[in-house]
Amino acid sequence: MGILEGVPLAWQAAIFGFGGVLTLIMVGIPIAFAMLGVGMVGVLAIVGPNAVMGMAGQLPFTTVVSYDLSVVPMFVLMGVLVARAGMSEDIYRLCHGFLGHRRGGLASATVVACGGFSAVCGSSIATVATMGKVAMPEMRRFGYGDALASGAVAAGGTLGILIPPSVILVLYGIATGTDIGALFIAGIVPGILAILLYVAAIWIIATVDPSAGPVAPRVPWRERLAHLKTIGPIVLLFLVIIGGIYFGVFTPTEAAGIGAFFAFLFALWRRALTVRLAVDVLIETVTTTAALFVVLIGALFFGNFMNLAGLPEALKSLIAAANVSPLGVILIILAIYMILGCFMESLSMMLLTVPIFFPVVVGELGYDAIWFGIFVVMVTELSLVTPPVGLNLFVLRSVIQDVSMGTVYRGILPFVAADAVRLAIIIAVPGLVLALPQLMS
Amino acid sequence: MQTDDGGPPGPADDPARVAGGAGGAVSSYSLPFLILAVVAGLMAAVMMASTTMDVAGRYFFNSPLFGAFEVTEITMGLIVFAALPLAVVRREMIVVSVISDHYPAILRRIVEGVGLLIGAGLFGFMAWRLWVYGERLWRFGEVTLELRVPKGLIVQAMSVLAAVAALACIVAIIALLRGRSGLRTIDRAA
Repeated sequence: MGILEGVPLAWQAAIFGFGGVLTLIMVGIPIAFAMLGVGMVGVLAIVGPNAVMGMAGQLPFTTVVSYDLSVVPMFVLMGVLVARAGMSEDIYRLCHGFLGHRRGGLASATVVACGGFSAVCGSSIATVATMGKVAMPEMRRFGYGDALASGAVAAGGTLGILIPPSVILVLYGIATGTDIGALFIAGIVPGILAILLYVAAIWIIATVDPSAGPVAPRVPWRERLAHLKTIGPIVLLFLVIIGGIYFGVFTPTEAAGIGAFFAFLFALWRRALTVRLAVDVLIETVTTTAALFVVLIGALFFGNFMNLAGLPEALKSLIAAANVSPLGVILIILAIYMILGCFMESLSMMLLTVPIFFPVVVGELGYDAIWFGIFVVMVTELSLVTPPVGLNLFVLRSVIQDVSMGTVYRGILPFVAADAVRLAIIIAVPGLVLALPQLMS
Repeated sequence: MQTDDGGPPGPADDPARVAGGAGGAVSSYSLPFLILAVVAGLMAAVMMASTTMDVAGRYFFNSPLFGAFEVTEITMGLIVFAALPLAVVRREMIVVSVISDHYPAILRRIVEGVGLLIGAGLFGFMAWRLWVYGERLWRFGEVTLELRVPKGLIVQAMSVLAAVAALACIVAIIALLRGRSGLRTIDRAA
């Protein structure tokens, strides 16, 4: 071991493990393979070949053959269906009608529409890709600056994983044994807060530089009300899912299946599905699911390696020895996430770090598991838009190809500032997250 | 990030996806993988229907669908592993390509090939260990509670599909050697 002589096993494992995974990921090896490979080598080194061989047979089975996790393909299916059925246009037209004539109004309309779309879609990437195609051309038509327009879409897209349903919250719930229904309900208030702060950021930008967010003509009330009618199905879908979970009519797992079924009926009603398209929707759903689950299996293998090496205990005793206040620990974790978020892909960042931080934050320091889940999702949102590795920025760029990456980076900064304010508020007032789920029980 | 074979997921007007879902990378020799994925997709549709019927039955007819819970569990295992080969050949494994985007073409292909080779090894190993685990479950005669499906059968089906995924990695390597490259970053969870 050479230079690592005398370093406790847990820290050696952490250095080898995280260093190895990060290096492989940055070189361009698929994330799942990097985590699975390093996890296997680590378990082999610490416990021996029998442990690796046993785990390689059992872990994929126990991970995948799970009733609770069926929520993932069902919410993915629902998201693909609502994206295909043209719901995004309906929501955007409505928001345009009500907000377009205000300062920076179309950008605000974009953010609010993203929030609305997030209420029926659990993925941030799908939200950005779908809303980007609808909102960007419209904002350009009214002379909006590309920086503000792309920032609004990329930031609005992050709402996809905060406002329920959310695939990331499901995975957090499964990884930590936290009630998924309560997590969903807890995401609502922070989601609304996010929309308000984004709109405030847009208002400030458009006030400082009116040419960035010009005013669109006022839409007559009759037209606005006509648009209001078109979003009926979306509201219904959201109410069925979230209302059903909130009032305990069905479990989040059942809600996902029912949500997918309603989205399917809606797509049929809109005549948005041919047989070929339906097959296509199903294929997209299952390959996306497969790619997600391989990452999940890899992350669990890696997590086993870290647990066998005793990293969570080592971290606990380090914090005890350093005598840092609970708030101090949260701020340190926040700093770690912000740095990691610049370089890591969001899903693997969440899956790799939560098993290590959760026992410390919730087990030792006594923070609420639901609050920490929302906190983790919010830092994950931040990682989706912080350069250089901000997935939403890339997706937006691939949808709207004639924007330079520099413009996109510049446009996102005010929204990153709004995210920072939101994180500070959530840390200072945990009740904003916890009030609704507490009312539920 | 590259989205050379169809762009980001979702939007209905995405031509590559509307055109039969052949995301560009699927050719005749990966047709079996496509068929497996279609079967997986149909199982997802079954899962959706059985969950809805289960809940509807519970509330409206006072009789939940028998075995719905287990149908979901079993189909979950099969969906993930049956869709895996197509996800591999379509390069839908999640990759961070911020640095590799700037590689010279030859290096990019080498890295992609190494990644697929690691994948082939991992899936192959997993297939072997799943098979052995399945044999043990057969020996103990373990079955699911309601439908009494042998657990060994489920695990060994997953094992065979994992082996097909390893094969898909090899197929993708061959395609790469013939000059098709396509690192791709997709993270639909987020």
